[in-house]
Amino acid sequence: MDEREKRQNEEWERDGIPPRKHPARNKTHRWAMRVLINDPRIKKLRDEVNTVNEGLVSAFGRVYPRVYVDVLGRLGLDNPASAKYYSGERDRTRIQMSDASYVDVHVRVVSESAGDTQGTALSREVLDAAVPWSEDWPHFTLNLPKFLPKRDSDGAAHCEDGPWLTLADGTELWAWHGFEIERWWILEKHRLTLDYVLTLANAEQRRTAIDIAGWVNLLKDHPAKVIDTDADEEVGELIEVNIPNIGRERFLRVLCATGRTFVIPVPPETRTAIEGQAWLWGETPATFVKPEVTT
Amino acid sequence: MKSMRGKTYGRQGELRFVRMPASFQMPASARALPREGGKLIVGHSETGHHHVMEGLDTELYQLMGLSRDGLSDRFMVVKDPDVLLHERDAHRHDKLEFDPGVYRIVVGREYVPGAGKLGRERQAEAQWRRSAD
Repeated sequence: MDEREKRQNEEWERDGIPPRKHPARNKTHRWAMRVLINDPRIKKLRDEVNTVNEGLVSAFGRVYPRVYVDVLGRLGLDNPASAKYYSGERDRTRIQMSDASYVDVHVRVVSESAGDTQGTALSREVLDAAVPWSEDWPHFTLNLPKFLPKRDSDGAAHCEDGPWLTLADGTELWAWHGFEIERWWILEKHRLTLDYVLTLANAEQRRTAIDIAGWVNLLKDHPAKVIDTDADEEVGELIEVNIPNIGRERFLRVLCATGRTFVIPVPPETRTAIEGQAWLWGETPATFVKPEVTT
Repeated sequence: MKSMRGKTYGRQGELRFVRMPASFQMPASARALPREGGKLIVGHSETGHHHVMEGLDTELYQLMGLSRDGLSDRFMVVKDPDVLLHERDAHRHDKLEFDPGVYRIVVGREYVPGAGKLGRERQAEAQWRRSAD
């Protein structure tokens, strides 16, 4: 039972509803909700699930993802006879009720062929975008992807020449190796100038912008001067760049434990890479100790 | 997964951990921080990729008032072995295991380019910012 389920059980216990005793089998793409039996929303739910199924099938073609609606009755978990709850498939969704007063509804989306690259497109982030989850659910409006989402070789949201995800209502989401970016970063790369990129306050955004614009391109007209290079790539290289409109500034160019390179501004009076590294952590070269373990 | 066992200094992304000596006493000004949505978030991320402790027994304390350097105002008390996770699907920092003990948490900082051009009064407050990802 994961953290989320534990928390949900705690909430339900407060409302007088027995906690779920067994973890749900599919942890990847699942939403849970509580509805009253005989609630007219159940019919609405069934209709919506059919729509989800049809929509996903048409959006993802031969992959035939299926939406399951599991309905666990209040007594279903304690009484084996009533544990026969279930459920729905792509083209025939049905919900059977026990005599409980509450039901616990899970929506699971799976692909028929596990490991299928098309199937992995149905990730949580796609579904989060396509099926806005809220307290009002199941009264959601389905906003399915128009095209298969685009990803990099690691499976992260990524597209070099367009949105990585386009939804039915025209909403476009832009990402670079898993990080959300501005549309113009892709369409108008020439506007990613050195002064803009190096002054971005968020380290991931700065790294991503440098990646998109290209470090060599950025420094084409403003070559960086290497001040000091440490043997340890995680301590990095101290460089000085003459930034238009700002002036000479110094940066540490370091290798992160995830294998990516970050450029971090340090004070202009920094003389060595290790001095810069110590400053990042509020230390001096005399007091700074390199971490024994980094991840 | 890497481990802090037998080690004093560790790091996950923009977070640095320093094991405190056994004689360390939590300052009286320290206050326990609550979990957020059930999670003990050790490091917040603007892009939603938080650094989170997996277990339920670890506690997080924050010093009231500024610490010595303004960067290390939190302590983590690990009662049972616990694991620090990075909530990201791709390019994720590897897990870091902590054995029981008290750890000081330091959030990295960076210089603000152009701060040198500011007037002396503004320089003091705007010369650096905490690292954000």
